[in-house]
Amino acid sequence: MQDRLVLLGLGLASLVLAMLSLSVGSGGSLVVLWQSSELVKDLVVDVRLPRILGCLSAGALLGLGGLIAQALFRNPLADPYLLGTASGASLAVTLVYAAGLGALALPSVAQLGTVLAAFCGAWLALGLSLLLVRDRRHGDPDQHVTLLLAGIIVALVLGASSDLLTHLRPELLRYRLAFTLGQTSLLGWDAVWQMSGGFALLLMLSSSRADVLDALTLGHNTAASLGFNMAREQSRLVLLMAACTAIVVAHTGLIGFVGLLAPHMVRPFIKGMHRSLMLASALGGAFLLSLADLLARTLWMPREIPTGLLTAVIGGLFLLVLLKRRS
Amino acid sequence: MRCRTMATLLCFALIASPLWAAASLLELTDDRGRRVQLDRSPQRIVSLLPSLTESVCALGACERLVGTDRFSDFPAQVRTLPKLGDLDDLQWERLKALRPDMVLASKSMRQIDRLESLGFKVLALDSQSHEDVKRSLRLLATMLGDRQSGDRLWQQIDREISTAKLALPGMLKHSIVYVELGPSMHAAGPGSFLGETLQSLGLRNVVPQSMGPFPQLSTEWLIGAQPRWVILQADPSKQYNKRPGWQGLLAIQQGRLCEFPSNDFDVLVRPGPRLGEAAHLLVQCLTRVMQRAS
Repeated sequence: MQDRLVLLGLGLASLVLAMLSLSVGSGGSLVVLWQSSELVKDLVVDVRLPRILGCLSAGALLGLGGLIAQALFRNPLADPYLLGTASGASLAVTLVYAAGLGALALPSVAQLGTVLAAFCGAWLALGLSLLLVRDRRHGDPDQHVTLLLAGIIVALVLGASSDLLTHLRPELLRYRLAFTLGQTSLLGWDAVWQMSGGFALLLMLSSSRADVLDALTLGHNTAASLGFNMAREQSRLVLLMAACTAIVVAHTGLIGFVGLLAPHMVRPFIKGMHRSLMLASALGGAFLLSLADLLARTLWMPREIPTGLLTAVIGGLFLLVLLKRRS
Repeated sequence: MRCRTMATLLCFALIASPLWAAASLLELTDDRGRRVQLDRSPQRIVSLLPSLTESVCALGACERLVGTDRFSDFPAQVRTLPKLGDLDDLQWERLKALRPDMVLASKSMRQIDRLESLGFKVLALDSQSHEDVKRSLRLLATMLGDRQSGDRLWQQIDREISTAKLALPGMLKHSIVYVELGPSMHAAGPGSFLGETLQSLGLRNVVPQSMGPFPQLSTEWLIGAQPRWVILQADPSKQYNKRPGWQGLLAIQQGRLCEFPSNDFDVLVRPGPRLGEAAHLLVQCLTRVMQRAS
């Protein structure tokens, strides 16, 4: 019962925040929604509304991915970018920009666009990580640690490749930086449909795996003794987590801390198991990212700060609070 | 009977043909290869690159600009226009509120996709070489309704560069020059527009063609190459003197250094209609320093 209240509360908070964001513009204008001027309608419908809805869906995906990551790796500091997906997406985007600007000039590659590139790059990096752990014993209770290490290796290597590319072609630096900082300013309606559709699908699929996540909190061996096929479940969870990340990263770049924080934010208030936690974490993530986006648009009006910068600041502050509470 | 139907159809087609012709009065192909169709010459232009702002004004259409990026500051009248940030952090809402019918930008993908999905017409233009500038001027002139003015402007720039070349003292011809574009020793290579200007003036570039248009050099390499002249942006704190090994450059020891204050340096690094002025600035500085040294 309390869980339902918490979920409702989170939902309402996100809605109120969304309404507030809709009425505040980065041009320094407080727009009253029922003004019927043509320009206001255009502004709100074309620019602001998809951006806010995009933030809600992206935040929800990150919150969901973060929860799965933390349960999968049994680590409270896990975030959904852990298996090299971030570096893979970053490298792919840098390559596409390299192909589009200057010497390489392969038009077909450039036309592919950075959205598709980031999506594919994330999956390829995940594939690499999985490839590295492929020949491990299936019953290995520490397989998640091996997977984590493989992810770190892939992230380092792909990151170094991106660094090398930007060193050889310094004009790519600002594009790579923009991607790494993460930005919500480019979210249009196509991004909204893709992310919200993706979220609905992934939430459904993840809810069916909620039992496994519950069991994993008791440890690998206990979970195995409960009858789960740990190898298969782990692969499923990894794929779910990667899917959440890939969709978001394709549209917003690398927005950090939302996936890390959202589960921690909601865990003290949710008494139930992962089934409720999933939705709560998603709503928490949606709220966090929308808040960061609102601040990013309004703090230094009329300039906009990359949203990823703000999530890092908010994230740092939240972690400080959590740390204080633990001690 | 069939003949009559054919004739009627032909008549209709002929009557309708002016409609087809008038459907898109202007068709422009930008540097992405994308075709942009316009019903009429744009009257509300937003430029997101300083060189494109300068080009539009040089072609006599300054009053059609309604907004620029953060760095556009020439000519003076564009300073009062709304500044919309730059491609990395564009103020989307202000841009939308300005209702432009044309946006000029450099070839950066994601932002241009978003601009087009918001319904703006975008021309993405390269600015890496003299050829790029010539082509941009021609395209912008066509867009503004007078194709010849682009070619005329380019011929004027060409003349200015030639005049500058003639003004270069004989002693300085074929000198090896190092032009530094950024604080981390990024040089202007022969493939860049600045490198091409140097070549037009009869000066040699310390950087070989193989190193690309904007290579990052090391002090070690530079000392090995020993350029005769060093050209860079003036820094009141003279940070470059603190670089290890920098004093090993003969050009520095013997005072063959050209420092440009930021206003003038902007002229050097913008691939736009002031290319001719940039050539003159280079020649003037080199001549002045040479006369002071002798």
